Amino acid sequence: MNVTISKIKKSDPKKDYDWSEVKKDLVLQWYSFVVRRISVYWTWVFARTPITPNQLTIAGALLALVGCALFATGNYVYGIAGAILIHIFAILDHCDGTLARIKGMSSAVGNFLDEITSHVVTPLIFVAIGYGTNQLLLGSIAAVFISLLNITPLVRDTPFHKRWGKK
Amino acid sequence: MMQKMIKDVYLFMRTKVNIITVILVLALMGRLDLVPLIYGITLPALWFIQFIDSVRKLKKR
Repeated sequence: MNVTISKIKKSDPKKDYDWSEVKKDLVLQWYSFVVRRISVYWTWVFARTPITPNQLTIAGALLALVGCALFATGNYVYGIAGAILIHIFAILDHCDGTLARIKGMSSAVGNFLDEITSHVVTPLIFVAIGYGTNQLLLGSIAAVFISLLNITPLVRDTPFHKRWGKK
Repeated sequence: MMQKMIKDVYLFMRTKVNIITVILVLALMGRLDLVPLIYGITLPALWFIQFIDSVRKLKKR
């Protein structure tokens, strides 16, 4: 499949963000560097393989589960390894949507898988870290409330989109 | 001003990429024990603020 980096960048639905906002914010810069820039090149590689977007989503979810298991050990080195695996999950999570658009394989099932992995993995991270650091109650509270914040429909259109703004 | 600050904190705390960035930094510092403490307290508070806000909006209708 003949895919160029610029084509991948153009297929990103977030290409219209107001990037002047990003320059003001260190965390958004980190986001733009880690997830966006790296994922473009990873997508370019994946586009040349027979890997489907759904396979990528499932692989990312499995990596995240391994990351959570590493967090649950409570070991310093395993904790760092877990955090890196969770970052890889975030990059793959960004890759699968772009890959689906490029390969023309967007589907309702893929969208559902993409949503469900994010909604399952994020609370699980808190539970795993809580278990690993003997603070299971606080970890579970964080997990419950991040789920509540994610599923509340009012959340959807409030902060993130307004924050980034569109040109 | 206060509302903007709450919105910024809210955005920072609940966005997945921010969460995993904070976790990576704390993991490198060897202080993963702070993660449940930080998020276990702030997330319920933020949810509560959001809940109050949505109730106020419903009352205005």
